[in-house]
Amino acid sequence: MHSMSNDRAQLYDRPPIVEAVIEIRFSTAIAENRRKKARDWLANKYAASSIEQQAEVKVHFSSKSADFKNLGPTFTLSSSDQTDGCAINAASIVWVRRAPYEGWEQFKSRFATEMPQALKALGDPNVERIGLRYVNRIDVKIENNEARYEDFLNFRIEHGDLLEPTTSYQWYLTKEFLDINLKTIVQSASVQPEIPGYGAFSFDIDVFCDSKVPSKADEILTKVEEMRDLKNKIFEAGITDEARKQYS
Amino acid sequence: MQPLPIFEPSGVTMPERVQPISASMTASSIRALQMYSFRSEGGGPFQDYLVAQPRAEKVIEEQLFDALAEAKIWTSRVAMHLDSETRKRLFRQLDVLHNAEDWDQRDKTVNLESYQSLVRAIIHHSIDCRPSLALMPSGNLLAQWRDGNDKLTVEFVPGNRLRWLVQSHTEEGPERASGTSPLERLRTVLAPYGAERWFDGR
Repeated sequence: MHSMSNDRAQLYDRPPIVEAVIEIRFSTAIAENRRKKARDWLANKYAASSIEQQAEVKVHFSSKSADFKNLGPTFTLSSSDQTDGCAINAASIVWVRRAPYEGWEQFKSRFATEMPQALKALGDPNVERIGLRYVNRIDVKIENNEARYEDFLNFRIEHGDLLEPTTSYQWYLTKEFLDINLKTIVQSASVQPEIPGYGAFSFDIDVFCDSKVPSKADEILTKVEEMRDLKNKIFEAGITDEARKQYS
Repeated sequence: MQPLPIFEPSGVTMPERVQPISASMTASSIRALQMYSFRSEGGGPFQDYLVAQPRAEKVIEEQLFDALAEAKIWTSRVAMHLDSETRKRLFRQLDVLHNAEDWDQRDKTVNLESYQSLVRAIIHHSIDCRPSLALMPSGNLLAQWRDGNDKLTVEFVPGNRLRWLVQSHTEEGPERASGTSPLERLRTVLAPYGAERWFDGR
């Protein structure tokens, strides 16, 4: 079952992935000069580079005031078509692939090439959390004034006939896989439609490791592969054959 | 089952990139990409927002980059409905239209809602023929299809509406027809002028 789901996942010609993210989060803040060094090393691999100031605002509702704390710059790198990206801030480094998703091998290859050098430039910091998130968007044709998302998603809220048909939904669940030391956040919701005549639903899978987290590059890569296996299992369990047909 | 009204043109469009739909969703990996984090008094998650630096403070190159990035990132939401060549061509055209060297400070960058209307029309009407594009002073996109000496020009207006103009040549002389329509009716309103000659077949 395990290998079948992985093989099957690679067969999709039109996967519904809108955004894939790999994040490495650090236990202590990375100094700005280290972040700049990582950005400089990565810069020639991306077409564009930008800097955004990051801030944390603490709102005091009782006194109607707010504290503004400057967290320093986030260095963002992106391909000219905005499909590939990398962002470095004080707390984490993130690799992003947006649709069209070309497959795990391409995404992993970029990550595997850039991550070891980036971590070195950041001073080989202690890693607090590794996350792999895939945001899928399920577009469902509206027929007879209904978008039957249940024809595409196996995971859903069973609320009985009383609340049928619903006008919107949202669910969120977490689970810990103790045997493989991974956790997941899976969520789905009705979202803003983009295509005339279609309803839209998110199916969002975030797999992460936040205990006994590896800090060495090769161990991180192995862990990310394990995460991807679990992500694929969750995705395959969550979608129907009807959905598979649409994406193949 | 979930009933949904047929697609309603709306002036309101979601911010770009797939955004968390609730505060709880921000616990995921994507959080690191968000620029500003708002926290409640107790320190727990309150709500996260993407806050753009005000346009006026940005130089031309940054404004052009932001406008292009916004359009391209939005495209990722519908990329699975676009063939690769159409998507690449649209991006090339957007890049050309926003060339910094030719840019006049008075020009407006592409209106995202106008771009969305164009892409939605391409997907909804299965438009195979790729138009030439121009940018209007308002930031709306103007698309033009040609069939010999005949031309179809469409301005994509925010809110999934469009203004169209057909210029054709008949044996009796030149003919012009124009109108304003909802995006979904484009093929229907152009049927008398042969919509398929503009849209079908590359």
